[in-house]
Amino acid sequence: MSGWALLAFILAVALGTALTRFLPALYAHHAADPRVARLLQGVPAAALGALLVTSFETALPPHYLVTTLIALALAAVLAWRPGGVLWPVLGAVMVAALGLSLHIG
Amino acid sequence: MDTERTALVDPRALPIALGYLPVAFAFGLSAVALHLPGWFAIGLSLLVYAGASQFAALHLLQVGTPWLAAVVSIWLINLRMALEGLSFFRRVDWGRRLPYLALLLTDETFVAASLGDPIGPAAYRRLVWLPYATWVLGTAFGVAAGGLLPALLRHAFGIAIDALFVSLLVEAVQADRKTLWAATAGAVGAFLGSRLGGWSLVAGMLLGAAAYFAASLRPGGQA
Repeated sequence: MSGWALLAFILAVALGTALTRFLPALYAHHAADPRVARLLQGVPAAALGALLVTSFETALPPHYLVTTLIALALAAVLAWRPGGVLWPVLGAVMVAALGLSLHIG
Repeated sequence: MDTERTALVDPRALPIALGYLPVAFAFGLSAVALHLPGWFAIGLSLLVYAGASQFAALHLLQVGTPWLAAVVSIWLINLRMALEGLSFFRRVDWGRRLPYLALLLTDETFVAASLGDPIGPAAYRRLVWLPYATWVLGTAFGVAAGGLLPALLRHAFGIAIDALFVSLLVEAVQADRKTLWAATAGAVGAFLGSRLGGWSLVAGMLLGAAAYFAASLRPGGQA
């Protein structure tokens, strides 16, 4: 593919993605019906569950399931007490680094 | 609402940025490895800013997919953002800042910004600028200097976003038990959707939203 075709590719993808992001946002306030609002209220948590499934297998290299589970369990325990998300995340990263360096799979 | 106006960065932006860095780095590396020009990778990160579809773009170009088919495929991958935008931007009046703030919505910033109290434009901006900057700079670093970050550290940072999701889920469930139904159904939907080919996030979001709706219809189910 030539340079111009690649540039056109970027612009076409960017335009479509921008419209996908922007147009629903523009009309979001029209979703004021209580039933629609209640349906949309569940979307963030649903996305959270879906993202956990889709990214779980790629979070760490393959064959590090034990390290992954321990790191995420630590994050859940640390998050149970109020105090923000930074410590749970840093704790999980440190456990992941330790598990990877010790090859705990 | 925006009560805190002094902090430059929302603390929730840090783990997102940490998680983005190795992925963006890997994206830059992959593009160069596939003999695509560096400006192409950086341009995609700068103007598209959507990880899954950017990697898909590399794959589609690598296997020789026709130009238009590749573009339409990526639009379809990014359709889930319409659902996210519809859910997120209804809660606060964004005024004239909506267009450019909407362009910085990703799966991760959407989840971080949506759970909990509604946030306004200033708080949202504090959440989204660092992950975006990290994504673009990480891609540039990947293009320019592939081997600088030790592989162990690069891989360990990969857990950051999942740990953020787990933390947000714990907080959300503590505040509203129905979110557990939504998250569980979302996970099941994503699992089933991935078996149907590329629709995992959309399937998960639809099923999870329906589960939350059903849970809120039960007696005492109102939030």
